[in-house]
Amino acid sequence: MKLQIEQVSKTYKGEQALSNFTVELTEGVHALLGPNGAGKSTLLKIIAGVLNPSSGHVFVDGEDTIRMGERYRELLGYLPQHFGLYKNFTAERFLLYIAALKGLDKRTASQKVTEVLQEVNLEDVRHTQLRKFSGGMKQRMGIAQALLNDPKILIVDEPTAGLDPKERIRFRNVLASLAGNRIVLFSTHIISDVEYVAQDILLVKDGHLVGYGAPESLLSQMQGHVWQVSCSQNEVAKYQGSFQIANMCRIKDRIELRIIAGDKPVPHAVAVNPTLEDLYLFQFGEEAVSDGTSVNHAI
Amino acid sequence: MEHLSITRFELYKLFSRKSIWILLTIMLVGLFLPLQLLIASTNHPPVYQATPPTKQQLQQAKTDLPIVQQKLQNSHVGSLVYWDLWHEYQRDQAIASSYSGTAVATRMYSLQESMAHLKASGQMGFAYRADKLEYDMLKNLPFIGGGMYNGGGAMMIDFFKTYGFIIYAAMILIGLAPIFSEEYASGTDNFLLTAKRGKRQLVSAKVKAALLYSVVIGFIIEVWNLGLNALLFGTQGLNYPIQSIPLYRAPFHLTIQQYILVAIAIFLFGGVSFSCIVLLVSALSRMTLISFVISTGIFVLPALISKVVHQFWSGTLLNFSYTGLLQVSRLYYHFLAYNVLGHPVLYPILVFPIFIVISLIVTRLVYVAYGRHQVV
Repeated sequence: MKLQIEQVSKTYKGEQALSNFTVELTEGVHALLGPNGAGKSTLLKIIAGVLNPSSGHVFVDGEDTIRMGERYRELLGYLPQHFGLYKNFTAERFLLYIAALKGLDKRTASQKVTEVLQEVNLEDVRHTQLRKFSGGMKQRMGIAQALLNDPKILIVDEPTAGLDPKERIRFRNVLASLAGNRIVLFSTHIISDVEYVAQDILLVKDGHLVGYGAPESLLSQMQGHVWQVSCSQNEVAKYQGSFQIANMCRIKDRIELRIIAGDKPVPHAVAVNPTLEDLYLFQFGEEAVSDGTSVNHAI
Repeated sequence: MEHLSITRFELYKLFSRKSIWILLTIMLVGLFLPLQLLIASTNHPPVYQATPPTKQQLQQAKTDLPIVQQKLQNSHVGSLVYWDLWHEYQRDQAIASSYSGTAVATRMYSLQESMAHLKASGQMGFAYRADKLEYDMLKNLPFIGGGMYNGGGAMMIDFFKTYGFIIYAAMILIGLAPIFSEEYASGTDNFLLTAKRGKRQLVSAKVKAALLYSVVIGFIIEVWNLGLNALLFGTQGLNYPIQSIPLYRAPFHLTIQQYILVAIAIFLFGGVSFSCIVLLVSALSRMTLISFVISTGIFVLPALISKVVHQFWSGTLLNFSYTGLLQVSRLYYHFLAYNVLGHPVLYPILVFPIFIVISLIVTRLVYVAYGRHQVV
């Protein structure tokens, strides 16, 4: 299956949120990485069909998704960044409602509801009203409803935002297990989310696709751009004024600086392997958000 | 392969809201019941002469009237003797006015003259046809006695135009104003719009649930109305003509009982029609408060305008408004026919096809409005 996004643009009241975004995705987990306001959610909404593009098209195996209508929505599972739940519904009733909307028959709906509740570890609270759910539980309900119809295209927008570290790890594990034979596209501004699960990354900045590829491939492009420099406390300000500092760490009475620069910044700088945090800073000019559980994805 | 019913879930969403039941209870039990109890406790209903009086009865009534009136003036107001005399006075007056000729006869005479004049001048169009229609309807009326009927049946009918239409409209607004707008405001529309049956089939389910809701609520309101008023004021007089209650000039040959059945049907029809426009406003509004305010405005504005602007068009506006329809008695106050291609069509008949067409168009627009909705 191919999900083709062709020249998709979106303008909101004169502001260009997306500009000629073009990419082709196949089965696997793909991460949309970029800072807040980059256009990630806008793109995902357009792919999900809840927002119309100003121009451009989204195709599945060459067929326009708007033309496909119900047939496209049958393939789709969507977890938005912000969503509500029906507070007086129990978890089970809510999922049965979504199952009804997704066109599942009675028997299949019942089976699938049990399955997805087990998958997101909410089986023991299936008869509890959603008003009593914590933030993490609500987020899991969100992913559960997205999985009901066994979607071939799963779109997940900032799935771990607002979750505590334990919930975040659990969520990543769920996402990683979902890859299989489906296209999973999720957006995040948290590096560690990408490190764990994504097989390729789409870098989004100011509505443009500025980079696309496997983490290793993107990082290899940064080879020779990341340096380590040891300096005194007094020299830190001088380096901060002249270079992009990815990281700072104190070792005894010296400061180890991690600098992003095209050329060797100072004679005693040592080239080091780039990480995804370095890539983020290099591309977006701001520090990446990490939850401290990152794996060293350096080459 | 049996699909799960989306309508069932939509009905659950509507009827599981505690606010609906709390509001209904407050209005029916907290407000309407005490008011009716108060009326019942102080009720000294006027008398209606249901059958043509004999000459002896008439003679006796004419003789007794001035005597009873004198006794009334001399008795202590509010005492038991006073109320007995008052009842006697009402009865004698009802008998006396039954014989003296009714407003119907006067009107019929006036119509005959009008028709003769129009015929003589060769004007046989709408005006002539309307006069003839009214004349034929009045000719067909049964005996209309003097006095007034104010028993259980009258109270049941009075409910529609006093509290009934307000309670019903309030319940429709509270229940249905958020039906779409709440989905938009809360973010559940994300799930709905991306589901296979989350567009056209969902709208159909919401429409069905909304119409069922309005019928069920209307039915509950009417059961309460009929039951309570029957209990407090009795069921005597249900076979009296509608001209025995404040529908004196109505040219329709209906008993109180028949009118109540017709009124319930119109009441429910009005509720269903109003629900359709509330649905459309909800589908177009991103906030429930806006949906509520606009729908309330649609309901209230025609009545406000007709109170401020005393022109023909403002009366017509109210006649063909949801308020007018839900009040019901407006349709039957007096003879009113509209010119449809030169032919008089009675207002209570014309109102139905108009509202059916409006409701169908409005319902179609609900599909369009929701289909165009985007999550921004």
